Amino acid sequence: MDEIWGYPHRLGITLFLIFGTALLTVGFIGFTAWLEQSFKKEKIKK
Amino acid sequence: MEISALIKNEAEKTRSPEDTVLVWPNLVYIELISILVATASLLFLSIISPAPLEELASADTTPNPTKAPWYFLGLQELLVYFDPWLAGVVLPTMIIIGLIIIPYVDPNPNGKGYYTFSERKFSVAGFSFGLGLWYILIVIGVWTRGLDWSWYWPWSDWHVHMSVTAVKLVDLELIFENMFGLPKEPLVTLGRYGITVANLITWVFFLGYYAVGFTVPFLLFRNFYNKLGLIRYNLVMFFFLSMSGVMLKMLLRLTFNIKYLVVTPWFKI
Amino acid sequence: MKEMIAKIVSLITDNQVYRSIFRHGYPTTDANRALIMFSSVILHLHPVRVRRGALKIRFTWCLGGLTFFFFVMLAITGVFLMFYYVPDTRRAYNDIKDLGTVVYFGSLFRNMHRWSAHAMVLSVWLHMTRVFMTGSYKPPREFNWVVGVILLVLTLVLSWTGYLLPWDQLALWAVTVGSKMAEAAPLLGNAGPFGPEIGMTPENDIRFVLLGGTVVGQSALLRFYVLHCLALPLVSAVLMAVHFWRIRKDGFSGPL
Repeated sequence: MDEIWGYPHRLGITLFLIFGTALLTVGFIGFTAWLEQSFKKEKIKK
Repeated sequence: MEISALIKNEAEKTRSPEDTVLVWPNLVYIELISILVATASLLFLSIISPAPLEELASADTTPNPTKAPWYFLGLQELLVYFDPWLAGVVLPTMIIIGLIIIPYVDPNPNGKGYYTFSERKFSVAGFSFGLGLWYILIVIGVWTRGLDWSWYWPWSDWHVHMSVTAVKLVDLELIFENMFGLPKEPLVTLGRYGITVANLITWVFFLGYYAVGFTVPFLLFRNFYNKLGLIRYNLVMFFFLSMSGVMLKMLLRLTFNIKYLVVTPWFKI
Repeated sequence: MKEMIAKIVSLITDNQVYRSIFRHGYPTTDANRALIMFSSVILHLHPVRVRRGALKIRFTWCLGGLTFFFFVMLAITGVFLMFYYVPDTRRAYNDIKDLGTVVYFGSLFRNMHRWSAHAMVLSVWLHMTRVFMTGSYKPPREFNWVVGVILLVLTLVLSWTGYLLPWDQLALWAVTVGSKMAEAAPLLGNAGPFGPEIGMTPENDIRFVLLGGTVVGQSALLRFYVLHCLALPLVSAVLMAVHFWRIRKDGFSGPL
């Protein structure tokens, strides 16, 4: 486990991978949820 | 049927309580505008960024790095963590098959024809995770891989070779051998394949991942299983576990230097 | 002024030639607007009426239509490029150079072709994402989704086969990387699991079939050219016809 701290690259890559995937996943989910809300609001307004 | 009668028929078919409008001009003008915008964008891009043309193809000089087109860079990045038969053949095939079966394994009647996350959480989350993983691999392949396929941050000097840090990669089998002090002689030999105790444990580990993955939702989320039924449940869990497994194996390699989970003379996972 | 324009318009439209081509005149009445959906071959793709909710750009983002548009753009620019390109390893590269220098509008067409290609790959992924997020693959539309996935794969393969044609370093090695993966296919490739056991050698495995040889050379170039310009576009066109037909038959899944 020491090595992950000894090699900044490796820590960086791991964090990039995890957070990048998480960000994109949340992004897609959020986009869908936002559109869901936006269509619902329009329906209520009508 | 006479044309005017046909039209009346068609018009009456759609004259339902729903609010309908004529396609001409309402839909057609939206299409026209989007075509104009798209053409203008293409023209603009064509003028400011011409298509690349490198030197004549030569089998003698290999460019460094050799990169596939951007839409395949995700798969090429997987080559770092998986053997070519997995990264280049099996995983893409699984992705395609997994995509194809989606409509047949999704029994949820909600969400047909409108955006919703709240009514189909597992579907949207699972698909988004797959997309996220696919796109992040492309991002990594395009913007962080340089000479010798080493990792280059945007601020690094891309013209300098990175010193290959002597990272000792070790197979999971070896880890088990050293951890439990297991003998190196094979228990059983099938032709070229000498199965040691450690090797068996790696198989248990690998298949156990799937076994646990299949049983845990069955026990804890029984209504999820009931909604899907046996076949659909197994298909969904198999592809979901494999997709998560890809990411897990990448993380295992990055954090614990594990190269192969399972080793046989014919293939290595 | 208005009368003059009206006079000119009636001069053009009130004669036999015009009416033989455009049978019903510019659609200004509701009857005509309905009629034109049946009589125009390009427009007959559409229904006569559509639900108001289906027009919302926020629903589809025009992605399916844009993908088809990019495909058409690629076909048009591609035909132009075909006049000036010969898939011979000895002159392919120079042909591309000619397109960029000597041929009038050559570089414009080549650039449009390349950008349309990237745009089509991107828009087809986004279109698939949109269709998933709106659940438009659910019954009875399952098979259309399958056709769509096949079209996605065809789009990627079309793009990849086209990548080789300029015959520059980027092309040669990008395709070499890809074909090396084919070599590693289980059972079918000579370097994959169980391949050699079945008798796969570099001379008879799936990579050999793909390249028409053991290296990326003249045979590969010709094969990829035929695939890229003829075989794959034909298959894509047929599948697109199925795809659009299905949408018309099953109805647009959009909101009310």
